[in-house]
Amino acid sequence: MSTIWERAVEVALGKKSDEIPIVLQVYALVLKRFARVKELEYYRNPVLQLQAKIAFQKRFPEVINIGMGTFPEYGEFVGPIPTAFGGELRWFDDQPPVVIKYPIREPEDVDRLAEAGIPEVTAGVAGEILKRLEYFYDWFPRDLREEYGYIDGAIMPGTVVEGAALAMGYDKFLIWMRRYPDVIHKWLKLATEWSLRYCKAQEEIVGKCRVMFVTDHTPHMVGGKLFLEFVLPYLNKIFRFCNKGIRIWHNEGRVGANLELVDKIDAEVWHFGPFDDETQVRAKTHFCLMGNLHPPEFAKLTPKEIEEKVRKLVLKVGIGKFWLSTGGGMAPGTPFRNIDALIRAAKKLERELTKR
Amino acid sequence: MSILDEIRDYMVKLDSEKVTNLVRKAIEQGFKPVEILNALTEGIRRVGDLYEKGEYFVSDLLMSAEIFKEAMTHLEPLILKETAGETIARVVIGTVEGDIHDIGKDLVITMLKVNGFEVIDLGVDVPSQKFVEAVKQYKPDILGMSALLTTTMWKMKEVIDALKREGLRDKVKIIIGGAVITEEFAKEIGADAYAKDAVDAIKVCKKLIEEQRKTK
Repeated sequence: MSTIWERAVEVALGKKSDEIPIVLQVYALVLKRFARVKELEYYRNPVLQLQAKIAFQKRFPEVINIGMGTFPEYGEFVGPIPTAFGGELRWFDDQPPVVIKYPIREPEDVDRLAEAGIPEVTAGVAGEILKRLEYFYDWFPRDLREEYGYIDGAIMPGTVVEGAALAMGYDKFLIWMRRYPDVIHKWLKLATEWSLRYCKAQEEIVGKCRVMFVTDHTPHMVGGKLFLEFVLPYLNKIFRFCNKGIRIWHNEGRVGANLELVDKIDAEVWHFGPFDDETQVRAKTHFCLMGNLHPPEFAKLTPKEIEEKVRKLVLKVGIGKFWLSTGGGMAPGTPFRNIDALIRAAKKLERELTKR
Repeated sequence: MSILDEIRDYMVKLDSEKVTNLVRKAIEQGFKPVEILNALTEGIRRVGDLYEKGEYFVSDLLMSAEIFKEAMTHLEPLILKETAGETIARVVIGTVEGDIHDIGKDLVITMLKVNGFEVIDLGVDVPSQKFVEAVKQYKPDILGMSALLTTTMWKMKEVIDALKREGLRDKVKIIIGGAVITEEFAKEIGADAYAKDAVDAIKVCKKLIEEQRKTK
């Protein structure tokens, strides 16, 4: 009998259309509630993180908690590229860290970084993340790994083109695309090469890539020619690292006129947000769609309203090549009874739409 | 097509070299600085409209702000000379703690100044308590806060709550903005207003001052 993960993969690849996999991204903002700690304490404590992730899974056996949900959290989203190249994070008491010191302020800084060569994969926060990945590899329960596709072969490079942007600030990055395109290309080559080595280092711990989760919001910040020149090739270079696996691209921002262009992203699943019309996304792209209930709204609705929203969404998007989720990571303060309502609604619709 | 229309259209096309050259040419030809400013502002407004429609992106908004900033290096001295001594109101503005993006904030500052506001810029990565101290020290009519990141936007609520605790909340109007900010968020955290872009910010600030003067 196939596992929940295997069935979700079949749905993603269009080989199965009688199930609505529920695939969420539940991480620090919610999981810190497990031990009733503030976020900083959660980030500092890998043992607590592991316990919280396992507890969430046991609480919701119907759900796959992807990406940061079952990966060690220590600036893993914004931190790897900027800090590998000399940037610094600021940590807060009860919110995610941010990049506070950029390694790149002037175009000459890119020349300096290029001369210094590609940093070690253990530079910056990546070093600590890799140590914690070893710990997770050692201790994450075998049954959960097999049933939900966790840990073994699960690679998370963090943000890629966006990571490169965070090393200098979005505004500079986006303006330099027009002002200093050669500098941006030079920088993206460095950042991407480091990122590939970081993926390789993860593979050495968890095994050959079977699933890759990449967060990158630049496709909704940059349109047309700039997207094709500065975003797509570098993003795809990372996705092709895992070309025999299932690749999930996370971006809940509105892509609007970029819809036909983002279709060229080499991923099987798009974790998308509520800002693009679902019918248009379905029609214009090849992806298995993962989403797209608006997280802050999902957190505030009643269970009954959630059941209605889920129904409306699934009837619009259709069953098959669709993973039900929030359109982004789950918001802090989301009541768990809302996740129960989501699951109930999905199972009811499955029975109804497949006449089981 | 007039030179002012060309300035507007090249702003929409995001051609910084053309815009700067045309602005210099318009000044030489004797156009009033405020007329040239209006052409630039109209260009930015159209860029904003294209962004709302999903045809332009954040990178285009930022580029238009950058072009505007460059053009204003030629215009601002002339406009400030014309409006010397006339101040509508005082604004204190900054980017919240943990956020070091300033391009949107700087655009708002330029627009405020050329529209007759006195502006005190607290800079970026401003701790919440520093906003509170600035309100005490400068007694502004308006406090403006900017945030680009979802991870830092909640600092705005921290500032508003701190002002309430110190009994200062009703002494100042609060306007917020930034790529991740929405009208709903502004209401949720108790801000007085939200501006979707720099052009909107001026309209909103003028309206806030008008309302404030009616209640005094």
